[in-house]
Amino acid sequence: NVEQTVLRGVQTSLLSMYIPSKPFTCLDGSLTVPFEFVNDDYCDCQDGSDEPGTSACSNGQFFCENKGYLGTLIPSHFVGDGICDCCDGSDEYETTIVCNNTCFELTQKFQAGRDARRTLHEAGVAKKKEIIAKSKAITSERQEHFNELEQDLNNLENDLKETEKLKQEAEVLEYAAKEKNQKLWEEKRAIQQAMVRDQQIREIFVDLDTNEDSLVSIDELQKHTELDTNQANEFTVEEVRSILGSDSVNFNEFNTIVFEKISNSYQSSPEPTTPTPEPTPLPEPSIYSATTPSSILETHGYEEEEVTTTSSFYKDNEEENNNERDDYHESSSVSTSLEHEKHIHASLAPEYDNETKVLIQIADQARNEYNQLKEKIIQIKRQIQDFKKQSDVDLGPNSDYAPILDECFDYDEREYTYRICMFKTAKQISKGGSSEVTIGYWDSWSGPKDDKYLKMKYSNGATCWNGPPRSLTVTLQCGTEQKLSDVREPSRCEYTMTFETPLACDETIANRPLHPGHVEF
Amino acid sequence: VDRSNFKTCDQSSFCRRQRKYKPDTTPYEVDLSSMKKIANGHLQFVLLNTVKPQVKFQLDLYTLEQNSLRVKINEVNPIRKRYEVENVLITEPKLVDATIKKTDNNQIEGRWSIAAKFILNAKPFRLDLFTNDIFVISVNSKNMFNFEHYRQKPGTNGEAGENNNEDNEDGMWEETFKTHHDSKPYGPSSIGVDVNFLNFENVYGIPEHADAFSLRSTHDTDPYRLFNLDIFEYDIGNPMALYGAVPYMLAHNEQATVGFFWLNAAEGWIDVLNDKLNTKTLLSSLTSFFGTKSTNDNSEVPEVTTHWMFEAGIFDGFFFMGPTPNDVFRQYTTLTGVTPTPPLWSIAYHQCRWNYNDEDDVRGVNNGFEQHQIPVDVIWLDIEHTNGKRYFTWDTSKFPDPEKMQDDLAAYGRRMVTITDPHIKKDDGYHVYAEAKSNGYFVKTKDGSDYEGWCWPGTSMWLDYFNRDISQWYSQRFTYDNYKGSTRNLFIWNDMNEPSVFNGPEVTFPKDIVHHGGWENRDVHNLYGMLQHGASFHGLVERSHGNARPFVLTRSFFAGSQRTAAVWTGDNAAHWSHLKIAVPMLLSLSVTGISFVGADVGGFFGNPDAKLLVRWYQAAAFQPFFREHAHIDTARREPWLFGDDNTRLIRQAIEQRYSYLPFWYTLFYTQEKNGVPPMLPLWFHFPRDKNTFKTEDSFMIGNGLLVYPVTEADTNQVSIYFPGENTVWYDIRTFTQHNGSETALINVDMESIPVYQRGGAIIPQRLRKRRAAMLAIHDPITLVVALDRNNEAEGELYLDDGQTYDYRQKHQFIHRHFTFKNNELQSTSLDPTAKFETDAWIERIIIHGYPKNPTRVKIHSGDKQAVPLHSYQDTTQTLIIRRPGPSVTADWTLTIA
Repeated sequence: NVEQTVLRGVQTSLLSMYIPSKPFTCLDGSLTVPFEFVNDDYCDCQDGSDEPGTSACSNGQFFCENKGYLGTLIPSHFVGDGICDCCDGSDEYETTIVCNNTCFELTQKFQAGRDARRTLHEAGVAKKKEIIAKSKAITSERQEHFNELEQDLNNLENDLKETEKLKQEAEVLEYAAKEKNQKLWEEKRAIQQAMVRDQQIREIFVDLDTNEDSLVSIDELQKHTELDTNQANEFTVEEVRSILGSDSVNFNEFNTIVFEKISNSYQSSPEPTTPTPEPTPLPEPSIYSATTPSSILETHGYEEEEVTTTSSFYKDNEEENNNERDDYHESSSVSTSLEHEKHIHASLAPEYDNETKVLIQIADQARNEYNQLKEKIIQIKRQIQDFKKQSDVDLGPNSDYAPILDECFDYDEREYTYRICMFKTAKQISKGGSSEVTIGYWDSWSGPKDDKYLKMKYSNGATCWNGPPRSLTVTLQCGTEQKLSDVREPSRCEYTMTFETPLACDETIANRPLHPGHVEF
Repeated sequence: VDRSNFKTCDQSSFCRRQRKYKPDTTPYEVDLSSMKKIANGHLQFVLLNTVKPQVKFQLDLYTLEQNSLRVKINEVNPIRKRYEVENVLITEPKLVDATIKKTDNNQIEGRWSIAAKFILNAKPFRLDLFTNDIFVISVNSKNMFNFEHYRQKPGTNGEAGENNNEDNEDGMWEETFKTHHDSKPYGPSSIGVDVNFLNFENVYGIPEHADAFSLRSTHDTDPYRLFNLDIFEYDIGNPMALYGAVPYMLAHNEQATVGFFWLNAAEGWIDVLNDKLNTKTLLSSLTSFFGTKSTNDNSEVPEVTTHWMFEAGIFDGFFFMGPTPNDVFRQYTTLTGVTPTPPLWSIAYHQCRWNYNDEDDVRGVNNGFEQHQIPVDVIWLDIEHTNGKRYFTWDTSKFPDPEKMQDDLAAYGRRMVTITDPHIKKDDGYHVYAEAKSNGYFVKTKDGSDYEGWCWPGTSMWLDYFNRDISQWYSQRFTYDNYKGSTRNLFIWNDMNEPSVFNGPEVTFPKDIVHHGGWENRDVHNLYGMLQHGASFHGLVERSHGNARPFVLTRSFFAGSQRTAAVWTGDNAAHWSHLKIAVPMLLSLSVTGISFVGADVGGFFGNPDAKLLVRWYQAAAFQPFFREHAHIDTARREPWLFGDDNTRLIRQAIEQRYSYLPFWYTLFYTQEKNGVPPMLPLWFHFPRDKNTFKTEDSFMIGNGLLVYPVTEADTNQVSIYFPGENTVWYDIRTFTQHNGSETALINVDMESIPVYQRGGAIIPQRLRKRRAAMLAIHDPITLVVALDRNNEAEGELYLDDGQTYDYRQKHQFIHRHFTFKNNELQSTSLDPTAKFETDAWIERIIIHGYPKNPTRVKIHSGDKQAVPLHSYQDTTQTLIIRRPGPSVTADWTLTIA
């Protein structure tokens, strides 16, 4: 049949463009050629339309008539390549290949497949309705719970306001009482400190005054070579005199002029000294003016040795807690009044009188109540927030996937169990050990544009060694049970799962009439 | 790469010794009175070291056919026999008689063809070589010949007369690298020699290095190293050793192309120095100095000095005197062989990945190619397809029915390649291991026990292919009975065959392990990979009872590997620099006879972005072996995963490869005949064009196409040098013409693959599309005729069944010759005894550069004639003849008037 040969591969809807009595115009309009050029096994049209029935054009389309099955278009370069692409074998007309006509089988297979699909969806849709009904109840319960939470929150916030008021009142009283106690204690402490210092100066003076004439002379001081600032030379008389300011000093002169110069380097004489004299209170504002406080602080702060001395000094003279000692090292023995205050508050709280103690107790209680309430409110707020976040999740068309929100499913494989908690996380759990790796957190629906709800994306899982963060794509499939039916890792750390669920079953497929379409073939 | 895992010259004791050996005069002398003529073309002399006259050497000169010379130097009666390389030369080289002249008491001159002459200088020992009476090569003119004879270890018996200090240098008798101790039971045995290329500025070859094509001076670096190693994440632009070694170097200048091949399989190092030589220092007796150049006393000429150092073996040097590039390629391949014409499908496109996970995955990838209408011929399976890296087995949970899988691919005209590495898992339950173990087939330690090392499967052993029985036994593993699950559509990939030993010194065998015949790895190391892939190749031949042509891909190689395997450049990376270095690497392989070569598309390590991937496809589509491959840690990168636009660009590149397959196939066949590889440096066809001598950004395919791959990320212009005075080049896409001897700035976009057809070349193409190459075997042919300045052109077409040995055994092929001259295009047979049944016909003839629209085109074939239609484009001077019609097997003449 000449017509059949000439019009081979032309799809039915385009037959009107191929009129054997007329020149042929390429379907893209680019060229008109004699009709003999159609299917003459030479490509003339850029769009391949002159050779639908041969392999001459790389971009042409061949129409398989496929009687008894669906007519299909295949690329024309499949024509005559020795592979049967049309079920009627019409693409291999020119080769020696024998193609079995598989159109009838295909039709049967197609119909069987379609029927099975319909049956599956039908069963699935029934289940889906059940699940959704059940889930509606859960959803309304959940909503109720949410409403309760909101109410609770409202109440608690009111309570909080009252409690806060009580707390403030108690704290005002407590503060006043504490302040009073504090002042008294500070005064006492200042006196003690001055005494300590005075005693130290006296000890040193006595230690230096080896001939006990109540004067420290050049020769007495010269024995203390550790005071030589220039250790390279001897400790000369001139050097000693420059420290003393004269040939000898009495206690008052020593106190005002010499002590600050030597206190850093001074080491007491090895031989036993005289018994410690009674500490006499000696209020001495003058010691602060003898040298700047900051320079003293620096010296004390940085020199290890001095720190140790200071600490033992405090240990001997004051009662204190061992683990608070470090605070004193930093501040040194001659700290400023500011430093003092800090320490008093921080660690050396005075013993309060009973009245104050009661006030503190009351304030503590008010604070406690207030904090507990606040914690409760935070928790409820969090629950409300979680709930709101969940209700922001896109749960598919008509929120069909609400029933599996938060539900988890496992898939067992040789080495691992894979667990997905829907709209939350997916994990790979090692069967041998106990190690768990997150392979993704809920990200978004990621199906193709026209079928967005076909696939779920979980991303930003644990990062792979030498690779990207793990991620997962879940394909949803209609099934009568809810289960993971397949897990794979096609690319390192990029996982895929298939999840079967009645929720993915389609009513329109389920409602299609059985065996409608024999006519369409 | 962690360089500290690999030795520097200084850490290799023989290299350290040889590199510092630079005496003012050589102590070596030839005793001319000892000259013996062993046969026509074979002279023998005694060579002496005047410092140690008790050690005698034998110098053998063999004058060979095709302007080649072989020089062997070995010890006379050594205390241990030295290894002489086997399995490389295809036959005993053919001797030709030489005319010997004693010019004076110190020299003999030998001429063994019109073009080839040697002068052997006795005192001092020096060998000078001439081609067409031009002085081209001088051996030992720098006095670096230094032969470490075998000797007794100082402190043991029989040391009398030897200088203990000199024989006990650091590292001579044992050495340690990192934690690895080399016991060196036989002591020092290395050989160094200088080979100097006079009046040359460029030398090439000695692969494998990720470095420039024209070898760089190693003045400030280590020497180029030849030692087959598995280098993890190799760097580019340095002389470190890589997976394979070919100790063969070529030198080229405007007048001559020459080569030097030292047949030695031990560890080698080669220094290259670009030098100037004062002609005054040359002997006045060299009358015909440098051909036509003036011999001004004070003139300086360039010289490339090369210093070769090998750890063991003998000196067995082959000198190829050219004088043309074509001659040198033939001279080398006459000795070491050519690549047998590969099956057609193997020069098409390959899709590989470590790993396609299971049968579904394989089918999915195949479907992807179908769905996106991208041609592909082979899908590959890496190590994960096996049962725990036990080669010749399958992981049956993932591949329950491998035969069915292969049959399903075959239904699309496609094939499969699986990997078989040389390490054999130590596991009594593994049949390959158990049999090899009980037969004593594994390589031994110095103490005689089976050597164990680590590789992919954990503790492993290695077969001793040096024993022919073991090699044959390995070949038999490939029978369908032994390799369960394999079919005739399954082919082989040999990786890790340097061999790679994860816990060995420098990730390979210790030097003191022992192979068949008592040879240490030190003697034979670089041969191991070739012996494996050779055994694989023969296994595949035997599997089909000698009918089907095998395909084997190897990572490790040696001189001669071209006979049994394709080679790829190993574990490259997804960087633009690695795309760029592929050209010089592949050229270095090509010029040293390894002609079926490629680099992993996209880069093995890392993830290429879409741009890099597309450019890589475009480049590799015009390189001999074309395979996409990726590391297991990388993201999927099948051609359709980068968006429609990139899918289209990749499809175009692959389709272009397929359209040129008749040309590639013809080139591989002619390569089998004459040794000229399909991928060539520009200087091969333009030997006098100095501008091409260092070119490595472009290359040629045969004598027809010039390819300039775009290897810059963001560029819209490339600068291309078109070689050849009076040559015209035609852009294959736009048909635009470019003049030779000119550099042109060419605008490029992502569509562009700058490829140019040489005026004067006729290229056969298949412009029809097919989903696999084997399905196009009887499709019609388009001839693309690019006219030269004289309106002439010629070309060839070779066709056969694409997969069997029938082309050899039954002469079933066609080999056509096309000539265009005087407005006539003629097709004649180059081999009238050949016959091949095919429906293929000439469907189109495209003539570029035709000056005007002809009035009539006529075609005669036998007693038939026809007047086909034609069309003509003025702007590009392109004449297209529609359906000229004759069968490709016919003689015909097309006349244009």
